[in-house]
Amino acid sequence: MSLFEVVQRQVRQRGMVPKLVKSLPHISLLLVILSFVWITMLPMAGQFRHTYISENALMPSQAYSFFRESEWNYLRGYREEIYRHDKATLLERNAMVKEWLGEIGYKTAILNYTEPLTGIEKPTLYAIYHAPKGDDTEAMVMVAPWHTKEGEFNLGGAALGLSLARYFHRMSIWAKNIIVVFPEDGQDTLRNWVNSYHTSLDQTGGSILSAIIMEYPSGGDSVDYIELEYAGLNGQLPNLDLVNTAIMVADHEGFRVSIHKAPRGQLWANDYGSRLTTLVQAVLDYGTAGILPPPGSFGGNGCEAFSGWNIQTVTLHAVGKGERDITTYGRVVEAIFRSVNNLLEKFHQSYFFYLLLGPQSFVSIGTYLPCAALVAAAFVVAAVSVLLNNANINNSGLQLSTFMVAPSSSKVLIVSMLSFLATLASSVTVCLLLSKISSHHSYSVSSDLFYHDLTYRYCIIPATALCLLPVVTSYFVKMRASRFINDVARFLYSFSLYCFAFTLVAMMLLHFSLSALVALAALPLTFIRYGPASNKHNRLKCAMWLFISSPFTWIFALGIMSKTNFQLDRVRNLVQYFRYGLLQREIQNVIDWMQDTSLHEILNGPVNVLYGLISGYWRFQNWTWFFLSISWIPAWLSALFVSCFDVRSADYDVSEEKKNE
Amino acid sequence: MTNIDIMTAETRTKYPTLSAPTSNPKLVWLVIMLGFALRLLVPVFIPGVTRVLDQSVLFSTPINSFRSLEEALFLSFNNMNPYHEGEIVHHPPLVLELFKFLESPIPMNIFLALMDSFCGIQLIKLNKKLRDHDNDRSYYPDYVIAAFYSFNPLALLTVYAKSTNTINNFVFLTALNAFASNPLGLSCMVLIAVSAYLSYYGWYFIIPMLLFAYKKASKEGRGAGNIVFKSIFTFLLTLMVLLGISYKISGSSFRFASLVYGTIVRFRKITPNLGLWWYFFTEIFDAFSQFYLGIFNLYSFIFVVPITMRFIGSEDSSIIDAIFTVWSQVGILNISRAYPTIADNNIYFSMMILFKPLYRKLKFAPSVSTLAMFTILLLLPVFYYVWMGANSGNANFFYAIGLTHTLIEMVVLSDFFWSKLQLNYYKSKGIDPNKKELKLTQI
Repeated sequence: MSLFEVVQRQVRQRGMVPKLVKSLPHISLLLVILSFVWITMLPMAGQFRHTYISENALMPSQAYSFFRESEWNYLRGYREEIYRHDKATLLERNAMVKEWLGEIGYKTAILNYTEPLTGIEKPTLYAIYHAPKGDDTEAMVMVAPWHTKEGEFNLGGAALGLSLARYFHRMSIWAKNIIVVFPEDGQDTLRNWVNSYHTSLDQTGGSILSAIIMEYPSGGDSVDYIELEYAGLNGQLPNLDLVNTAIMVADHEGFRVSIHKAPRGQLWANDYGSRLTTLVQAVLDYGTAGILPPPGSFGGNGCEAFSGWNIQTVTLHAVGKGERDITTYGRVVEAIFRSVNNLLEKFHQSYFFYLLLGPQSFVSIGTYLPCAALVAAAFVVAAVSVLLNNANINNSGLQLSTFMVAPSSSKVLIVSMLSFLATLASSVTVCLLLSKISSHHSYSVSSDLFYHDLTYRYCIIPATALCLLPVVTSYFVKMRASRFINDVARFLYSFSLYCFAFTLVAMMLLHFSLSALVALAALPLTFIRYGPASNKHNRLKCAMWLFISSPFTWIFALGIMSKTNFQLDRVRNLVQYFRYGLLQREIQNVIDWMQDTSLHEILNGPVNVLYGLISGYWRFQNWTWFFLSISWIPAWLSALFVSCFDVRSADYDVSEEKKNE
Repeated sequence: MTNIDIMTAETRTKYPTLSAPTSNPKLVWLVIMLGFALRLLVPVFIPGVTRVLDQSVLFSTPINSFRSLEEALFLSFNNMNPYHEGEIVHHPPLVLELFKFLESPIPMNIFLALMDSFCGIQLIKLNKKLRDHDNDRSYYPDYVIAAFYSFNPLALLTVYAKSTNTINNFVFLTALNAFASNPLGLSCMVLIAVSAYLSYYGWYFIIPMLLFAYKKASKEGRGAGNIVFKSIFTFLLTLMVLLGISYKISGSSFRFASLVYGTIVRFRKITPNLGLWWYFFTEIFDAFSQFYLGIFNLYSFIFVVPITMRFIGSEDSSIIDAIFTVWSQVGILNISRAYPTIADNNIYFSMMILFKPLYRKLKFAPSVSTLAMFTILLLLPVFYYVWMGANSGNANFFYAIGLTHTLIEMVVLSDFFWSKLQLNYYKSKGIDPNKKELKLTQI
C-alpha cells in the first residue's frame, strides 16, 4: 500500500496525469498493435503445443481395421446401384436405400421435411442400429449427405455410408448405437433432422456423442488426402480429443490431413508461415461459420448442423486422386467410430477452446485470449479517453480537471443515455425486422431481385451514404455553442464505446474469433473526433473512418471475397518466396479471373452473406446477426450522430462565465 | 496539488443545488408510485420473466427459489407436508403459510411489489434520520434515494424473480429504521428476530446493535445492563415464538429447522451460486468438506465483533457509526454467506447511497465501482452459460468470475472503511476534512 502511495505521489508531482490523459488515444492504438504482435507470436516455436490425446479410453488406431478388400466388393456394388439411380428422385433413392438398410438389419425411418419457404420436399432417411451389448442410451452418427457442400453428388460418400453400415452391423464390439443419416444436403435438411431428433422423432437411439460427416464426391477408388472441417456455430468447436483422434487415425492410415483449406503443397509444411496462415484462416473460418448461403445453394461445412446440441462433429472431405483408396478412407471412419465407442464418459478434454495451427499443433484459450482482450481493452481506453474530453478536436490546449470531466448537469446524462438507448433500440428493431423478412421471403439462388434490392438499395448503399452525413451536415447544421452539446456528444460517444467494449469482452469467451474480427473491423470508430462544423477537414476524416468501420462495408467486402478464389495461402507463398516473377503471375491470375467472372455473379456474394446473417437465427440458431445488432451497429450509429454535432471547445461555458464575472 | 482536487472544491461551491437536500414529497411519492407500477406491471404483462430469472443462479438458490416454493405450495394444497416429504423446500414455514394466501399470481405480484416499494420508503426514512442526526447538507435529497431505489435494476430483477429475499430485505430495513429512531427500544429487536427467523444470518446484527445500545444507555446514565438484558430477552422470546408457531404448523416436528437453517449452516445443497462456498464442496475436495464447512462458517462470523469494536467502541460513536457497522456487516455477509443472490447485493448497493458524506474520501468514485459491478454482473450469466449451456467451459470459469465479483465487493467495502476511518480521524482531531493540506496515508 505504501509503495502504491509513493508511486501515486511521484506521478502527481511530476505532472504525469495530464500527459497520460492526453496520450490515451495512443495507448489505445498501442494495445491494438500489441494484440497484432501477440497473434503473430503464437505460431513461433515454444508458444504453441503439440496436440495429444487426453482421454486414454479413446485409444485411436489401437485395433486392426477390417474394412478392406472383401468390403470393397460390397462398396462397389452399392456405388454401381446408386450411380445407376443418380437421376432418380430423392424419394426413389431413399426408398431403395431404405430397403437395403432394412435388409441389413437396421431400423429405418424417413423424416419428412418441406423447406418452409420454397416448398421443396427433402425427406431425410435415417437408420438406427441398436447395439445389442450397449445400454441403448448413447449413439454415434454417420452422415452421408446426398450432395456435398460444393453441390456435387456424393456418390462415394453414400456408397461408403451403406457399406460401412453393413460392415458395422456384423461387428459385435459396439457399446453405443449407430445411426446412419442420408440427408439431401449437410445444411438446412441435416439441421432439421438434428433438431427433430432431439425434439420430435419417434425412432431414436439415445444421446448423440459424436457425428462424422462423409463427403466423397468422386466415383473413383483413389483418394489423395482428407480435408477436415470442424468449426461449429457461435464459436463452438468439437472437443479437441475428437479432432485429434480423426487426425491421428488418418495419419495412421497414411493420409495427410488438410485443415482450413491448406492446399496440397502445404500438407507437409510445418514452418512459421504455414502455421500463421492456418491460424489466420482458422480465425476467419470460425468467425464466419454459420453465415451460410441460402438453402439449395450448398456451402457450409456440415458441422453447423450439429452445433448447439453438445455433439462433437467433424467433416471428412476426400480430395483428389492419389495412392490411398476408398477403403482406406472407410477405415479412417471405422477407426474413429471404434475410438468413440471406447469412451466411458462424455468427451471431456479440457480443450473446447483452441486454435489449430496445423493438424498437430494448437494454442489453447489462455494463450490466445489476451489478443482479443487487448483489442477490447483498446475500446475501453478509447471510451475513457473520450470521457476525458480527448475526442473533442478543439480541446488540444484544455487543462484536465474534474469540472471538465463531470457532466455539467444531470440532464446531460439523461439525454445522452436516452439517445444511446434509442440507437440501440432502433438498431435491434431494424435487425429483427430484417430477420423477420428473411423468414417470410424465399430466396431463389440464380437471380433474386428481392434480396438484391434489400442488400444494395436498403442496406449497403444507404449505410455508405450515411457515412457522408458528417460532411453534409457541416453545411447546414449549426448548433448554439454550449457546454450541454459538448457534454451530450462526449457522454454518448463514450458510453457507446464502453458498451461496445463490454459486448466484445462478453463475446470473447463465447466466440473469440467473432469478437476479435469485429473489434478489428470496427477499430476506426475509436479514431473519430467530433468538432465544429467549420472544420471540414475533420468532417472528411470522420466520414472516412465511418466508412471503413461500417458493418455494411465489411459485409460487402466479405461477400465479394467469398465469390473470388482468394486463398490466404497464395499470399503466404508470395511473401515467403518473393520474386517478381511470382508477383507477376499472381497479378496475371487476378486479371484472368476478373475477365472470366461476371460482375453479376460477384455482386451476388454480399447478397448471400447478408441473407446468411439475417436468416442465421431461425435457420441455425446462429446469433451472429443479433450480436452485431447490439454491439457494432449501435456503436457505429452513435459515432455517426456524434460526428454530426457542431461542437465547440468544452471550456466554452467556463470562459463565458469568467467574462461575466 | 493537482488541478483535480482544486476543481472538486470549486465544483462543489459552484453547484450547491446539486447536492442540497431539498424535500419535495410529491415528487418522492410520484417516483415511488412509478417504481411500484414498474414492479407490478412487468410480471403481469410478461409472466415469462419470472421463470427465466428464477432459473438463473444469480437470483435463485435452493434457499430462496421460487420454483421450490411453488413445489411446496403444491404439496401442501394436496395435503402433503412439504417439511416431511423430501428435501425440496427450504423456506421457513411461516413464509409458506403467507404464500398460501397469495397463491394466485396477481396478489403475489402485488405483495412482492409492495414489499419492495416499502424497502425504498424505509431507505428514504433512514436517509432522513441520518441527515437530521448528522446535520450535514451533503446527504442526498429524498427524491434521489426514491429514484435510485425505484429504478435500481437489481431491485427490479429481484422482484421479477419473485425472490422471497424481498420480504427479508424489507424486515431488515424496517429493523434498521426502528433502531435508528430508538436504539434502546425493543421493536428493533423483535424485527431483527424476524429477520433471523427468515434468513438465519439476521442474528449477527444484534451484536453491533446491542453494543451501541449499551454505550448509549451507559452514557445517558440509564441501566445499561438492564436494557441489554431486556433486548436479548426480547430477541430470544420473539425467535422462540416464531419457531414455536413454525413447529406447530409444520406438523409438530423440528425437521423444518434442519431444512431451513441446517441447510444453510451445513451447506447441504451444493449448487453453484454467486458466493465463495460451493467450489470447495465439489467432489474433489470431499475429504476436506468438514474443514471447509467450519472455516466458512467461522469466516462469515469472524468480522462481526472486531468491526463492531472498531466503529462503535469509542465514546463518541453516533447512530451513523452503528448503521455503517451494520451495513459493512451486510457487505461482508454478501461475500461470506452460503447462498448469496442478487437480492443480497441489492440491499448492500442500495444502502451505499446513504453514506454520501463518505464519498468525498473514496479512492474509487461510486460511479466507477458501480460500472465495474454491473460489468461483472452482466458477465456472470455469460460465464455460467459457457459452463452449463455451451458445455465448453467448466466450473473454474464461473468460479473465476464469481471471485472477481467478490473482489470488487471487497474493494468497495474496504474503500468505504478507509473513508470512514479518515473522516473519524479528522473529526476526533477537530480538523475540517475539506481542507486540502492534510492527506492521510494508509501503510
